[in-house]
Amino acid sequence: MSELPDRPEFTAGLRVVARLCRPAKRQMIVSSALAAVSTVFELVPFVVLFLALRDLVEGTATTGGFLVLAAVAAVASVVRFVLWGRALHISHIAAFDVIRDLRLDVARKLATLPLGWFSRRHSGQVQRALTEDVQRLEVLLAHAVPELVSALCFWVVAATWLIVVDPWLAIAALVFAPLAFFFLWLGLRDTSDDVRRSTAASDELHASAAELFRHPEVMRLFDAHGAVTAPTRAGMDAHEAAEVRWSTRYATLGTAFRVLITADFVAVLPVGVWLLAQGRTDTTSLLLVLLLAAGIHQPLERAYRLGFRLSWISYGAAVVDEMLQARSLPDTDTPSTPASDRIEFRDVSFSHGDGAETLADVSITIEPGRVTAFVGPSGAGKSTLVRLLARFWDVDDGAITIGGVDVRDMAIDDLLSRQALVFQDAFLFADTVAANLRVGRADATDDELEAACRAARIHDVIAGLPNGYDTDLADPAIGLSGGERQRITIARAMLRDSPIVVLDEATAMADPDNEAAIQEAIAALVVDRTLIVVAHRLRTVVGADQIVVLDGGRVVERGRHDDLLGADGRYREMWDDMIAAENVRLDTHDVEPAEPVAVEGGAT
Amino acid sequence: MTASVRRLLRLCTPERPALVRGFGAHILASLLQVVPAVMAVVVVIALADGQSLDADDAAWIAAVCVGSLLLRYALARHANGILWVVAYRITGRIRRDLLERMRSAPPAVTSGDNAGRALTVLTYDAGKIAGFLSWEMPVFLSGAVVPVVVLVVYAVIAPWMAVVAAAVALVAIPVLRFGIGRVMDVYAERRRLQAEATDRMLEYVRGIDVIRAHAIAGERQARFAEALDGIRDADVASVDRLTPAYSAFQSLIDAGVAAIVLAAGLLLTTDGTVGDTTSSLIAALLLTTVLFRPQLDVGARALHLPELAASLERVEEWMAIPTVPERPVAAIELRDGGADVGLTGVTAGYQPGVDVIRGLDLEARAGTVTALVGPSGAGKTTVLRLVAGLLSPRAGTVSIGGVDIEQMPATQSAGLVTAVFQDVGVLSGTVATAISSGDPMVTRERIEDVARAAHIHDRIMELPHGYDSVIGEEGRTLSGGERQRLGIARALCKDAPVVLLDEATSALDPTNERLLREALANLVRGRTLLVVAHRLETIRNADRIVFVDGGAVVESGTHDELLELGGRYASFWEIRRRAAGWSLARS
Repeated sequence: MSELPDRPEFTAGLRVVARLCRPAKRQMIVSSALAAVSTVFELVPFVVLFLALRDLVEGTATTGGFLVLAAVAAVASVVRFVLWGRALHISHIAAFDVIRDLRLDVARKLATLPLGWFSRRHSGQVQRALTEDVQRLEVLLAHAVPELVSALCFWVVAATWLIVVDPWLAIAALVFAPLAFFFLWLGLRDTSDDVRRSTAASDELHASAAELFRHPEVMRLFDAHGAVTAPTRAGMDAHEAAEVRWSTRYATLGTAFRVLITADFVAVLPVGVWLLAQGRTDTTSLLLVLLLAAGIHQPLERAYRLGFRLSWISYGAAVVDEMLQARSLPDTDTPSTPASDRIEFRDVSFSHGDGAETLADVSITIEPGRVTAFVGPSGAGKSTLVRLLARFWDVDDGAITIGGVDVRDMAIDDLLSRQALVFQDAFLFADTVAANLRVGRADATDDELEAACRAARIHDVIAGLPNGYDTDLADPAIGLSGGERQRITIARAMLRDSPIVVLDEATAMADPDNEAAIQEAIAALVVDRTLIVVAHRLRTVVGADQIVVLDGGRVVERGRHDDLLGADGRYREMWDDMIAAENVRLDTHDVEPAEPVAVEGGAT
Repeated sequence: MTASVRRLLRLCTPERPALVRGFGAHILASLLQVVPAVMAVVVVIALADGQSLDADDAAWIAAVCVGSLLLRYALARHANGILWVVAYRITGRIRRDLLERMRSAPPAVTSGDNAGRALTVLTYDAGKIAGFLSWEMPVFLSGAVVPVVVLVVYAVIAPWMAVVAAAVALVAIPVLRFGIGRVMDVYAERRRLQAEATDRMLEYVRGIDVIRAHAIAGERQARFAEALDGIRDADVASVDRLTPAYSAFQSLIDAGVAAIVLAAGLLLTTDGTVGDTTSSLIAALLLTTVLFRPQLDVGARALHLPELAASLERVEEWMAIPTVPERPVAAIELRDGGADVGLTGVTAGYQPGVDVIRGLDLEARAGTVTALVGPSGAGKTTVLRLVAGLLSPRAGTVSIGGVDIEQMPATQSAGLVTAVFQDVGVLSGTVATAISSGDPMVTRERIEDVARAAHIHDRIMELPHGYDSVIGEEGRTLSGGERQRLGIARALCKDAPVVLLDEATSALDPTNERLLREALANLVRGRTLLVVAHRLETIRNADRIVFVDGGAVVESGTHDELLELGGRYASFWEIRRRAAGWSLARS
């Protein structure tokens, strides 16, 4: 939660909300106008009752007159709620439109942000902004605005009428409203931190419970002493404590508000009787004031519910707004086109912004058509380095060039079309196989898809699916294995047909039945291309033209396999670790591990 | 509605006395709200009858009005002090209770497709109860009490009007119910579309790397926009359906005033009076708005009732999971201390009608290594899940120490097995608690011993507070390989006779890989191991290799025996051997 923006100052929060809702301005004006007009009809029953009462008091009442009055009141009720229903209908549609457009805006924005922006946040937070935080505006636009307009209009017109009839009685009838809202303001001010704490606790409960249910096996096997369920239980306790705390603190002032806002006759009745006794008002005026006083504040109570939720709404708006205002990755106005595919990393330094330097003074040249492998321990900066080439981030210092042109001076589409990336995490969209393949190239023909899939050794698997290439991968019954999904991403990369191929741990899958197929697929992909590969499994890169050993963000060694092995440095250590790992045998009998056996076929 | 109330009462049984006190005070406060109105009636009748009132009367009236206000505040404050607190206590208790039940339930109840439902019930549904008890319920009660009292006053001073007023409410309520019913149909569709659009949004965020790398933001956004249009249209449809019925309900209630005036008009005699009850009629007319306006608010809140009813139903469903296991509580005596594992004719699966395991027989003798090998989707991991008790067989039995695990107390069967799965899962609290799983009997010495055996001790000592360092969300301060070794330390610390190991398919860097493999070797020593192996060299020495395909055992034996046989395993080994020598190179 500490990574969320601070609670905005209240008016600033409202300004953000107003800005986000600006596209709905016209609809909201129409809706508010209808709501305001409906208030006029809301007052009609009061006028009708007043006229009926006056006639009764003055002895001029007739059945015919009452029938007319009743008819007027009935018509007014119908008109009022037809208008009101229309106002709400318009405001709801305005809300739905604003929410849809904002979500699209956020989605568009996300596609332009440097990916460093994502790594600083939980993906859950981004997801919540896109789903829940945006949704909060519905309450405001659809309900709060028209209700507030109608409540205020009603109150102002009724108050004005009261003042015209008798200023003193009017004061007695209206005095409780400002007092009530003063208490409400005090109460909300006192508890705003509690509300925030409660929201945070609720978020944490949600996150820990979600994590728990993702791992039922851990809950089953390691929760005998409750340690696994402890965070969820703590989230429940914290949420309960926060809610109880603010309820307790809010009870005094919150109750004062609710009692005062419904204290209709409390002041006006004795004051009215006293004024009447003094001869300073008449029975008819008192009747009218009593009539209006009954329920004059009730619409305002609805405003209370809104006031209560405003901080909640503006908080969500602030999160969304922060996203929309984030700095996009700068694009160039005068793009250059490189003449060759020679890649150069020149004195590249880069930090993820958390203080530690991820890469420091990295200089590497990658000749077209060659195989370059990056190896090193986790956290050495290998994946970051290859992603810099696709401008997932921009370097802090130094430069990355393709054919002598800085990647920042290339059109982003041009830059990306020159490289095909295959990640370790074989991400596929919940879409058809064909649609996933066309992510590589949108205009690929069916024949091209099939050719790529044959080359990627996945065609037979796809052909065996219920609907072949049109099979929807979102269907839970279609259980492709990790290796099969990986081969689809390789086919996708093949369709891209770019001169540079980047494999980020894409060869790490060790599923024996897939391994050979993946290897064949990759071998087909890299023919005649520049290959950049991040590898954990050293055996897969022994034939590389250049192996770059990264450690702690620096290049510590570089060369061909045989030279590096002979150099007896970091690479040699890693190679020995690999051999040792391969020779570990799982044995339940209490004996020392069997003597090392070299795996056949390994280059040593 | 009555079913929901009964459910709510059942769920809140322990807090009933507090609720009775709270709602009792609230009802009394609501009754007091009507006192000034009744005073107004008395005053108006007096005035209409031509009596004159003096300053003393004003003082007396003021005393009653202000007194009732103060008393009402005291009661309401008391009520809110109880209700707002007890509402959240109830939600907290129900959540803890649900979690306890989910813990002791068979894991299938909370895993797979049920995980999302379990989460909803624990967070959203349980939270609804607090919201209802502290916000909606009091409004409903006031909304009912005030009109009922006014109706009683009516009945006393102008009986005919009471009949008319009651008739208005009786007509309006079915209209509201009809409106709600219409919306409920659309809501179901809306929820479906919303879930679909949410999936699209989440997919977009998760796939942002791929989207960026392929410059396909525009195209993905179009898909996204389609889903958003879907929700928007469903939203609009629900509003379209609700608006006419809801407007009709509100108009009907509001037209109550018209009905009352009409009734009064019909009661009038030709001289513009109603005999000697004119003053009562005047008072009644005055109260008309007090009678009807609160009902509009109640109607607005009633729109949320179906959602609450659904939440209550789900909570009660989950609360039906027994806390005390129905199996025998006393531990059953096991052969060899429960170190041998047997599956006999086991058929099992996740989705109805789809069997992943079909009639599988398997025996893992105490203190031996049994390796499961086979193509992906063969059912290897499912075998481990069966032994861990995460899945119940549809047919056949899974036994440990010669006893069907379904017949043992859940704590006994869970205690016999320790495991390292591909994903380490929840690691929370301090490093020491994560390793000991919170077992107070585990000494610090033992924790450090197992951490050393798992090759994670040195890394732990580098953390700011060593073993007392708090693991961040999902252990974010640790790398993937380190988390895995912490998971191994946890598995080692649990001194269970049977170890289940599901090897991760993705490789680590060579140093981490070596540390991990050595840690695993230490974990399995002296226990019975069932392992799903991806690197065949690892299990070359296994006492028995079982080749699984299509949910059944295809062949089994030692490595040498299976190579001799020249069957599926032999060809697997051959592929693996060739793949191991593969390297990326310019050909």
